[in-house]
Amino acid sequence: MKKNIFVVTGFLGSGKTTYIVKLLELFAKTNEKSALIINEIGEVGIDNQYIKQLDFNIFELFGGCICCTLSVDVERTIDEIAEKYDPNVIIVEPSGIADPTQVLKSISNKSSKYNIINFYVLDPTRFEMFMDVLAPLFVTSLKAANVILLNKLRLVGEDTLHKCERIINEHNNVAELFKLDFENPLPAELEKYINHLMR
Amino acid sequence: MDHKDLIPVTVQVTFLLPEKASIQRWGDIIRYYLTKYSEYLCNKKSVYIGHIKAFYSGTKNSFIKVNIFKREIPADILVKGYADVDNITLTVNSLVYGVTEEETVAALQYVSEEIEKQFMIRSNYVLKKPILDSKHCDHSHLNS
Repeated sequence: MKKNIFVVTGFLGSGKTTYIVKLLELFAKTNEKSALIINEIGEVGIDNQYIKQLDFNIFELFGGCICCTLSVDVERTIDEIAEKYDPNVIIVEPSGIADPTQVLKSISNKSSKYNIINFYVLDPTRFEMFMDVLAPLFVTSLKAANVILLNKLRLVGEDTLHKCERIINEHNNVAELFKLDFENPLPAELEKYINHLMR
Repeated sequence: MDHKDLIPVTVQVTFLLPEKASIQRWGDIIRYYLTKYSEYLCNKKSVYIGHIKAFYSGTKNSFIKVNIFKREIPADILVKGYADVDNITLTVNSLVYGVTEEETVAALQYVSEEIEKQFMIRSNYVLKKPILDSKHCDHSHLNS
């Protein structure tokens, strides 16, 4: 039976790490063995310190970006983790400026052993910025997603949400879409979906 | 927008208060510090925040995590555990489009002065060299 690789993509500050912490908590609760590979941009990582402080184990990749210079490293790390720990799911968090298509390409040869699911976390509060100055990355990210998590619901109005949903549908009408707010527990239907992926 | 305009700035900031303070008090101070920092940087056109994140790790799993992703939205802060200390060292990771390193240093200088006025707190910062200089790829992640 194939195991899972969950790639959690999204622009800087969209809520990827918060979502991952919730995933790790869920897997701890359901006794699913998990491992996390994190790639941060910056001299000193923030997210890795945070996750370690919560007592989760992580594998850090520094010194570049896993969509390009570290693509070999991410493959190697996946192999090492599989050999040493054999987790049911490996979560990969690329940096918030990584091109998801490149990240997925770099691990595509793992698809014979793993179901690779790309969760794209979308921050609707910066929807206009994405459209104005980040449109190519935004569209590429939407198209590459298997699951789209429309986050920060409490911070946006209905108008913005409708605009986001229209753009999402325009570029990817096959991805699973969940509307949520990571301030709250994961919605039951998303938990159910994740549990289904783990079966 | 090009990834070269989103060079990460990592800073270690040390704060020193005249007396010991709780972790909640430190959280308020850090939130104020980063809010002023982001306001200063965003006080011109065509500046976009990727993220401004800060983390303080204390003893016994205590921590403070602050995140700013948009100027108009108040800083997101998470405080956990207990602390009673008169100094802390904070890691700040800032990715802001449209801001030079000189402007970042000016912002740090400005907030250091502001925080001294507001909280009677002394601070000093050490700017870390961006890691992307030597090993990051040449292609753009953020074509526009």
